[in-house]
Amino acid sequence: MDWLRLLAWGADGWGDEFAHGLLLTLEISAVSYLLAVVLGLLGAAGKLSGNRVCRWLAEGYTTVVRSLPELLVILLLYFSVSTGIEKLLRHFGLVGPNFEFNPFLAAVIALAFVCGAFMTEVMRAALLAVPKGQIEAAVAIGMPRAKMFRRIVLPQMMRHAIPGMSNLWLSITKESAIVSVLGAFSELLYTGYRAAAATKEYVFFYSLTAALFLAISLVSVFAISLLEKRLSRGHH
Amino acid sequence: MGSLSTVLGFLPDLLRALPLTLMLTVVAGICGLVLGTLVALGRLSAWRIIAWPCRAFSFAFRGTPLLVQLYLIYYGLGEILPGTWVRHSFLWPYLRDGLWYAILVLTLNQAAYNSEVIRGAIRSVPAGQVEAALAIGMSSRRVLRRITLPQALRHALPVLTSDAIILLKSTSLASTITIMEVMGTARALQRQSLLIFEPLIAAGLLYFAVVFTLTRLMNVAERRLTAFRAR
Amino acid sequence: MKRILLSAACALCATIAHADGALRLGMTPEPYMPFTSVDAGGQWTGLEADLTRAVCAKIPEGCEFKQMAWDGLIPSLKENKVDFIIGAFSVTDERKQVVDFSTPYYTEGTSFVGMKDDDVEPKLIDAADGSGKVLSEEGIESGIIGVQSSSVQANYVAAYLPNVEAKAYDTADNSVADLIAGRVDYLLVPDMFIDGFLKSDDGAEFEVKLEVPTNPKLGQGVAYAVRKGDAATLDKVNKALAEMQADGSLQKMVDKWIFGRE
Repeated sequence: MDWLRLLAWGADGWGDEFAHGLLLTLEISAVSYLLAVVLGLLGAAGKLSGNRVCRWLAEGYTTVVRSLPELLVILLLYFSVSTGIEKLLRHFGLVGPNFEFNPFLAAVIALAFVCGAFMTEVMRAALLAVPKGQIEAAVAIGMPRAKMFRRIVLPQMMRHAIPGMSNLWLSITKESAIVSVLGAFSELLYTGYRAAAATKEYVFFYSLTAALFLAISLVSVFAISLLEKRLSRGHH
Repeated sequence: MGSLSTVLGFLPDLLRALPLTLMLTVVAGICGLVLGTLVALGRLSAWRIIAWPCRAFSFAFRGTPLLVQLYLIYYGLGEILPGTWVRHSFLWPYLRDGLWYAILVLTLNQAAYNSEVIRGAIRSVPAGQVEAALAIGMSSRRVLRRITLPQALRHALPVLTSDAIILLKSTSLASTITIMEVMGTARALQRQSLLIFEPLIAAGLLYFAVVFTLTRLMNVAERRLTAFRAR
Repeated sequence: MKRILLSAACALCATIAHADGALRLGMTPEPYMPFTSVDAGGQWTGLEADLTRAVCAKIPEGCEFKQMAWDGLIPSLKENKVDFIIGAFSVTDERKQVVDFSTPYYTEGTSFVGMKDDDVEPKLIDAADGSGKVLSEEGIESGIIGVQSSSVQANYVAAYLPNVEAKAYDTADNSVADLIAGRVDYLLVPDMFIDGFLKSDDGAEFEVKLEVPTNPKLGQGVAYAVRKGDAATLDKVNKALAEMQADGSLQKMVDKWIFGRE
C-alpha cells in the first residue's frame, strides 16, 4: 500500500480532498452551532417562562425534534418546508421564477434546528443551577433585568453549561455529515467514505478520517478547558 | 408526502425491529452510565496514572464518529481474523455476530459522553458540603456515595436524558454492521419502495412514542429529586 | 422564533439559476464500480458516467449535472429539484408505482458466490409461484447468505430462501468484506459487481457456485428514473438510449466496462 500516493495533493491523490472536507466540516459545524446556541437560549427561556404558550411551544419543539430521526427532520425541512416557502415567495412575486434556496444554507439551518433542541435542554439545566437567592438578591437591589442576566445569570450559567455544550459541539462536527443527503457536500465523513470506496482502502481512509476528527476534538477540548478554567475562577 | 395508510402499512415491519432498538438502547445506556460514572471519577482522581487513561478514552470516543468506530472495530477486526485460530474457537459465534460489536461500541461511546457530563456535575457540588462531611468524620467513600454522587446525578439528569435520546437514535448506525434495528429497517423499506418520507415518518412515530415515554418518566424523576428547589 | 429563522434564511439565501430548458440530472459520487466512480481528480468513470455523457450529448437541450448522496436522489426527483436520475436503480414493479423508468441500459445477472474450499452444490427447484427454476434451500440452510440491503437479490432471498439466515449490508463492498472475514458463507450479488472481486487477489479463494436463473424478483434491468408522469423527459431519454442501442454504442460501453473488452 502506497499511502503517500493515496494522500497526494492534486488529481492523483486524496490529500486536497481531505483538506477541503476538513474545512467544510468546520464551516458547517460552526455556523450551525452558533445558530443552535441562539435557538437553545430562546428555547430555555421559553421553557422557564411564565407564559403558558411559550412554555408549550418550547416543550413541543424539544420533544418533537429530539425524538424524530435527524434524517427525517432534515429531509422534511429541505424538501417540504423550504419548497413550500419557495412556492409561496414565487407566488407573491417576491423572487424570480427560477428561485431556489441554496441547499447548503438550508442544510445548515436544518442542522441547527435539530441541535437547538438539544441545546435547549443544556441551557435549561444550566439556568436552573444558578442559585435562586442570587437572582432574588439582584432583584432586591433593583438591578435591571438585562443587567442581571448579563452580570449574574449568564456567567454562572455558562459554567454549568460548558460540559453539555462541549458534548454538543463535538457531536455536531460529526453529525454535520448528514447534510450530504441534500447535495453531496464533501465534508469530512463523506470524503472519507468516497475515498475509501473508490480505492477500496477502507481501513486506511476511515482511520485517517478518525484521526482528522480527533484533531478537531483535540483543538476543541483544549479551547474548552481554557474556557472552563476561566469560568470557574472563584470556585473549587 | 403520502397518505396515512401507506405510513401505517410500514409499521408492522418496524415494530418487529423495535425490540432490537430498545434492547441496544437499554443495555448500552445502563452499561454506559455505570462505566461513564467510573470514568468520571477516574478523571477527577489525583493520580495521573488513573486520570490520563480515562481522559484519553473519553477523548477518543467523543472525538470520532460512531460510524467510523463501528466500521474500524467490526470490519477492521474482520480483516485480521481470517485464518487465525479464533475461527475455530468458542469465541467465533460471538465475533461473527454484529450484535456484540454494536453493544460494545455503543456502550463505550455512551460511557465517554456520560463521563463528561457527570464529571461536570460532580465538580458543581459545593465544596463546602464535602468539607463539612469530611469534618464530621465521614469516610471519603461515604462522602462520595451519600453526598457527591446523588447531587451530581440529580444535577446531570436533564443532560443525561438528552444523551439517552441521542443513544436511542445512534443505535441506527448498527445497521451498517447488519443489525437491522428500526432505522435500518426503515431505510431498507425506503430504498425498496422509493417512498422517501413514509417509512421515515413511521419510524419517527415509534421513536416519538419511546422518547415521549422516556422524557415523561425523567420529568417525574427530576421533579422528585429536585423537590427542594421547588418553583 | 420562526419569523427570525425565516428572515435569516431569506437574508442568506442565494438563487441557483438553472439554464433554461436543460434537463437537470441527479447523479451520486458514491462509487459503485463498474457503474460509477469518481477519482481523486474529480473525473467520473464507469458505465453510467460514459453512458450519461453520451445520452446528454443526444438530448438537444443538454443536461445540467447535480451531485448528491444516493439517498437524496429520489426526494430531489420528486420535489422537482432534478428531472431525471441515475444510480444503478433496478427496475421493480414496486418502484414503478413511484417513478417512471427509462428503457434499461443494462440487465444484471445474479451470482451465488462461496468459498472454493466449500463443496456445497446449490440446487435448483421449481418455484411455488410458477416463475421457473429458483435456488433451493437444500444444502445451504446451515450457512449465512450476505446480500446488499433492499437490493433485488435481498428480495429474492426473502421470497425463496426464507429459512436461510441472511445478513443485509448497506453497501456491496461491506458484504464482500464480511465474506472474506468469514462472517457470511455465501453472497448473492450482481454478477458485474462481483467479477472484479473474484479476479482480484482477495477473491482468489472464492468462486461463483451458480449463476442464478433469471426471475421476476431479480428485477427488470437497470435504468434511469424520471418523475412519475413526466412523459416529455422520459421520451427524450428513451430516444437517446434507442439511438445508442441501434448504432451499437451502448453495447460497446457495456463490453468495455462490464466484460473488460475494448
